[in-house]
Amino acid sequence: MKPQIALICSYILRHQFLVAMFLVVAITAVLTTISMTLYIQSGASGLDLSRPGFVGSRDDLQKESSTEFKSTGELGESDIKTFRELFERQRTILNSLSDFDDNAISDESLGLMFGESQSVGEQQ
Amino acid sequence: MRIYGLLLLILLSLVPVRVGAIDPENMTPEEYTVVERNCKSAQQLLQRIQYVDPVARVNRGTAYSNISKLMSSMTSRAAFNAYSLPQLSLETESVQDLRTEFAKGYTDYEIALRELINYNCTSNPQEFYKRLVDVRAKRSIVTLRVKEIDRRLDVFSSNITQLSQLVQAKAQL
Repeated sequence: MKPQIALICSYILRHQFLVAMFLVVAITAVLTTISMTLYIQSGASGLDLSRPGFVGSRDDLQKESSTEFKSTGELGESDIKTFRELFERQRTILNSLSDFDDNAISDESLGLMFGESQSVGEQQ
Repeated sequence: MRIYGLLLLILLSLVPVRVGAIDPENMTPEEYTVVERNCKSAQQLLQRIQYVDPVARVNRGTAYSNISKLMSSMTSRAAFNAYSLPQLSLETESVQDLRTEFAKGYTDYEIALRELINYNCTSNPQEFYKRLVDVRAKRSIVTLRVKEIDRRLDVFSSNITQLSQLVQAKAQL
C-alpha cells in the first residue's frame, strides 16, 4: 500500500499544475451541483422570472408602490384615512391577481374528456 | 344536539376527498385510453400554466409583504397611542403566518407541477393522472391560503373601522 501512496505523491509533485487544475474543476462542479440542487428544491427556480421563456411575463409584474406608514407618532383621523388608502390600494392589486383556482387544471381545461369518449365508445 | 354535530363532523372528516374527476386507482380501460391519448397535449397546457403562475405568485408575494408591513405599522401605532385593540395584533400575526404557509404551499405545488410536466405520461397514464390529482390537491391548498388571507384582511379592515370610531371619540373629548 505504501509504495502506491508514494507513487501517487510523486505523480502529484511532478504534475502540480495539472492536479491543481483538476481539483479546481472538481470543486467547482461539486459546489455548482449543490447550489443548483438548492435552487431547484427550495422552489426559488419556480419564482425566478429571469429564466428564458419569462421575458413576456416580466412586463406583468406589479411596479413597486409606496407603502410608507409610520409605526410611531400621533394617530388622528387623517392618519387612518391615509392608512385606508394604502391598505385598499394593496387589496385592489390582490383582487386583480389569480387566486390559483382549480378550473385552470380541470379535466375539461386539459382536454381530458372522459364522458365524451365513453359515449362515443358506447355509440360504436 | 352538539354531540350529533360533533359525530357528523368526525364522519365527514373520514370521507376521502376526491379532487380529480375520476378515481386514478380504479381507471376503466376507456379512461386509461383517454389519458394515454391526450396526456401529451395536457402537459403542453400545463407548461403554459407553469409560465403564468409565477407572475401571480411574485405579485401576490409583493402585495402581501406590503400589506403586512402596513398592518404591523398600524398595530404599533395604535398601541403607541394607547388604543386597546388586541384583534389588530392577532390578525397581523395570523396574516404573517398564513403568508409563510402560502409560500410553502406554492413551492410544494410548483415542484409537483414541474414533475408532472416532465413525467413520461405515455409509459404510465395511470401514474400521470394520479400525479395530476395530487397537483390539483396542492393547488387547492394554495387557493385555500389565499382565501384565508383575504378573510383575515376583511377582519383587519373592520377592526380599523372600530379604531377609527375610538379615534373620533377621543378627539371629541
